[in-house]
Amino acid sequence: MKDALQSIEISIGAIVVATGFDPYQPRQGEYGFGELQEVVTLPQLIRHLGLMKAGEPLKWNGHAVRDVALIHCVGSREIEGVDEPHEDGQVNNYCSRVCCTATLHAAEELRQRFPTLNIYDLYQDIRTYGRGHEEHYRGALEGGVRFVRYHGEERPQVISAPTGDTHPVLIHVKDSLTYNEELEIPVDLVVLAVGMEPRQIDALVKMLKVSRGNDSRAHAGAFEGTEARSTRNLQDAARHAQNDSRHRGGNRVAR
Amino acid sequence: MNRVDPTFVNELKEYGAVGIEKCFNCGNCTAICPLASDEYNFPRGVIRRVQIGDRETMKTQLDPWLCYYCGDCSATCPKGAEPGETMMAARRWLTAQYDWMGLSRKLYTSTAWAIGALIVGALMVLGLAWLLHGDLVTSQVQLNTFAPVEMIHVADLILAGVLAFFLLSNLFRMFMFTFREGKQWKLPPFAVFVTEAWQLVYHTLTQQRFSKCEGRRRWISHMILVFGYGSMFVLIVVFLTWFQTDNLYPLYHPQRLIGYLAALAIIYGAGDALVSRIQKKHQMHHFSHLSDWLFPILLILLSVSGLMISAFRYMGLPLATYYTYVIHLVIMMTLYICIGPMGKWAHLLYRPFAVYFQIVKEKAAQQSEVTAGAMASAD
Ligand code: SF4
Ligand code: SF4
Ligand code: SF4
Repeated sequence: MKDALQSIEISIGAIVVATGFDPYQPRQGEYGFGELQEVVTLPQLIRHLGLMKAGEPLKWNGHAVRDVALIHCVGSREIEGVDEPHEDGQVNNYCSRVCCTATLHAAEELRQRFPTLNIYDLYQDIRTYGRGHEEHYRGALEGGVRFVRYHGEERPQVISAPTGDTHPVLIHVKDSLTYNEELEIPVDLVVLAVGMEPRQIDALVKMLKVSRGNDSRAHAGAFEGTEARSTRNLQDAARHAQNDSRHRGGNRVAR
Repeated sequence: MNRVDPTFVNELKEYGAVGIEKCFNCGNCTAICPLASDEYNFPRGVIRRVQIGDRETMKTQLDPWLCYYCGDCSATCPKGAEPGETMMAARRWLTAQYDWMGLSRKLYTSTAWAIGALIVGALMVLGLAWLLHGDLVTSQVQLNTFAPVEMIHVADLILAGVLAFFLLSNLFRMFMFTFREGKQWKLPPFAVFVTEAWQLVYHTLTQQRFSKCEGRRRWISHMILVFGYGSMFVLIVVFLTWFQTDNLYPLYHPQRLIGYLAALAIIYGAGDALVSRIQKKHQMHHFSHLSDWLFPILLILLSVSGLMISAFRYMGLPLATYYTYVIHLVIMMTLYICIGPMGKWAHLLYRPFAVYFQIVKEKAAQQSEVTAGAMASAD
């Protein structure tokens, strides 16, 4: 009896809609993902780092990692007509807002745990939203992480290195910090900073009668928490709910 | 395509660079630099080459020589990346690239080598002096008996020849790096080298670009040093038989007057540099490499010992004159071995030549544009 579904009625003044997100899953072959063993996503790397013992050297596939590249905006800030559309026929044109900080945080951790590792960070813009997040940028920079800046129109190419090369993977990228010259970066591991994708929200949309944006996210109508209207980190989501409630004369939502 | 090489940053640090990694390429430094231009957009451009490890392009660059370390960039940099110091380190690094013997790299990056070279230079002179010196006449000062001027003159000429050989061969490598792309020569027409040759003389004598950099005080004291040093160099290499004499002249005699003035000019110029290095008042003196200390110190010691020889001679102290003379030669030798054609001294050639090469390149580019334009309109 206890486990049976029950309907209960509660009366409330507001609904906070937090739909959550899924990390973007790169396509087969996107930046070599699924084709080259040395290409992983940021969540994969973070899990790997979490499982490693302190003082253990960084290895991938049994090979020592000497050089690693982190690529920002994978599955985010895509451009219509440049990037291939996804199943729903759209490109993810939004900025996922958390991956810059997450990537720089990972870069900092890599730097601290593996002092001799060469770390490259391939970014478009550094968008460290949130209080104190820019500190990770500073930490990574001063820790000697090399930044390379690409443009969305010409994303970096990840290719398998020819036999005899010192490294298994090469990245070719036009670097706007070096007068748009093309650079070749030899690496042992490529980490894709994948963005967030909204969850399936069809039922929710119907139930709450909220409109839907063309990026398949819910639009105004209720308070939205993380990921309902746009990608947000915790700070943003709390502040947003607070502002919305004030705006509508509702109760103040505690942070 | 350039392959990134992460080791270059650390290599340049051995030459004294600091804070390269802090640079996030905002470009404020280049915007504020009074000497940078569209074509030569240092210091950020240079820093970026270092960050990505582009040694090949770095080797061909004249940019570091076009900077006179006014320090505006370092003062402006929002990250404290010390761009001016990277330019300084780049000059040392370039000097080491031009030096085909590889000695420069050792002298710049290893204190042990630098001190070793000082000792070798000193021992060489002491050994030669011990073997070759003449009688020590004690009844009166007879310097030309102790160290016959003809012999010293020959030694000077040999030394000058050796210096010139190394300096010119290094200069040729600079020329090669500047006017070659890969294995191909990209030489501007010879005529442009000739028509612009006056610029070389002009820039050597006036260091007009230096005067564009911040207040003129440093430029003036540097000019005084250059003219003092230049006149002394000519006196010793060309007119030694006139300059080194046992005759006693009155104070206003040109032999004494020119000598004293030149020595004082060197002491003033080098002393000024030394004092501000000690006080770290100026941005450019916040960081000092061993060679930055040795150069002014040895120059001052050289001039002071030179003045002392003269003083002892006029006071009639034979032994003091002879010993000071040997010490004077020791200092001279260590100066040239340690910071000569492989070191900081060589900038007296590289700087004006860099300006000259830059002008030649620009003029040649203008000419070819004009020709291309003329050809296009003829079509
Ligand atoms: S947060 Fe940074 S990495 Fe993520 S999508 Fe935005 S710009 Fe790209
Ligand atoms: S050196 Fe400083 S001012 Fe120059 S680009 Fe780098 S961070 Fe900016
Ligand atoms: S020190 Fe002065 S001249 Fe040299 S790069 Fe900086 S601003 Fe330019």
